[in-house]
Amino acid sequence: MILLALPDVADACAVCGAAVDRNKSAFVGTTILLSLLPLALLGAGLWWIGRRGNLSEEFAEREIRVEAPGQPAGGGER
Amino acid sequence: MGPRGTEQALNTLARGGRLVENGVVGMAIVVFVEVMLFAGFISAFIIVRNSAPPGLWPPPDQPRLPIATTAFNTAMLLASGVLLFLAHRAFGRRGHRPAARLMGIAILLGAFFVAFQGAEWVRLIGQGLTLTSSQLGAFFYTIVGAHALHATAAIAALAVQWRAMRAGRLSPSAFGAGQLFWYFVVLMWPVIYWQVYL
Repeated sequence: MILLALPDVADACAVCGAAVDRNKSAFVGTTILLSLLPLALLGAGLWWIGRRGNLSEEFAEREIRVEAPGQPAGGGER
Repeated sequence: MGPRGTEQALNTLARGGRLVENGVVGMAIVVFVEVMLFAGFISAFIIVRNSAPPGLWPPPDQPRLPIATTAFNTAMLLASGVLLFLAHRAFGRRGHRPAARLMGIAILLGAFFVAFQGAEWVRLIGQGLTLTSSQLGAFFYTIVGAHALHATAAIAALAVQWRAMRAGRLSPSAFGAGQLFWYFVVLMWPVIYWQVYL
């Protein structure tokens, strides 16, 4: 009986069972935001590191070409 | 990051290279945490604002937030971010002296932003908007105050770096970390302005 009564108690929480529809949709929206934001930040960080990897590879290739202009690109010590 | 990007990143690491400076990695972790802190603040504010009965937000007995003057102040902060980015480019291409000049202006604009905010706060407190006067006041001073605190800390750090840059002994790692924190302060503000002021 106590367990059956508990959901009503939970509904007293301002965000679980809001009387105003706008509040309910705001709760859903901010829950989605707070759930996806960390993933988006991690994704952006990984993309940026990948981009740095591409750039550093390009710089390394340029350096090899400058050091050994007669040799084919990427034919250096790798 | 695609397979080619991953492979090239691993190649760089295998050659003993470093993809990202240590200082930047550390600051990126700090910024990650701070972004989530502000996301939490703003989410709570949005829920409280939407729980108010129609027509009662902002509270009728509370002063209105200065939208126009803060828009001007926002422009100053954004200009500061652009100037710091230009200082970063100048640091790599033209040396530390031109970069220090741009960085100095960026710091001054950032300090202007914080001082302008302080003047706004004095006026709003005089008009009756305080931390305990309403939910709007509580959220306003918490969110904007937390941002101002971050801006002040960032300006202090950039000022120290500016001195090091003028002396020609600023490391790219430290400069990168300082920049990252300032970009966070600059880019977080328009979100706060949009949600809290508008």
